[in-house]
Amino acid sequence: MKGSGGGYGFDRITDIGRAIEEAAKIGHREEIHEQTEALKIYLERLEVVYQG
Amino acid sequence: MREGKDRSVLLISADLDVRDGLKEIFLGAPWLLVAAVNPNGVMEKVREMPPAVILIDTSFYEEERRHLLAALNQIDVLRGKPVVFLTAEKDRDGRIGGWVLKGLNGEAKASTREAFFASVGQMIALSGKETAKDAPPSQEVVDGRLLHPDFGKFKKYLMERFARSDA
Repeated sequence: MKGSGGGYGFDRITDIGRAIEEAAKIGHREEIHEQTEALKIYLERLEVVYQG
Repeated sequence: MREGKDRSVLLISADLDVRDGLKEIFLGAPWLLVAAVNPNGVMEKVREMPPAVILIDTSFYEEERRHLLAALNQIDVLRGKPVVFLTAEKDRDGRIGGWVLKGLNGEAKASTREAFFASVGQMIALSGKETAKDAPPSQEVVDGRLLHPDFGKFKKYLMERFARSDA
């Protein structure tokens, strides 16, 4: 997810993916849960526009 | 058809087969197809009849696509219009056997005229719904010009995956 997010143009997904990965490395379950929630909220509120 | 608003579909493709293939599909369709290699040649037409959706051929390189979307964005009547990325599926002889349509609301494959219009119609309807709904105050906005054509599929994949993790 960390690698794919940027490839698709979603830098925010890359940031969240990175945070989840770091949290997973140290077994921080609470942080993983929080970041997962942040991802859900981001995806639900995501709006794509075609204007500068 | 001419009196209706947003009753056209703008196609931008450098591939003659794609333009001709879609012109044939759109004969007698509910939308008038305005096909062009770039938006400059069809400015007058799109101002007269603003499109409901813009179809962009994925055979453009990424950099070309960004320039194209930036150019489309300079045209007032096209600003904010839903964009669908279109790929023609060709056989070994170069004949088009089907279409893949990728929009914000996912991906659809169409091998018949009816399926093509069903997909385009659904994407137009869903795009309208998206913009009409009340946006929450902290809406996350991203620039569609910077996204990969498969972004809708990727988003759908993540949403399904994380929705399942709730169960």
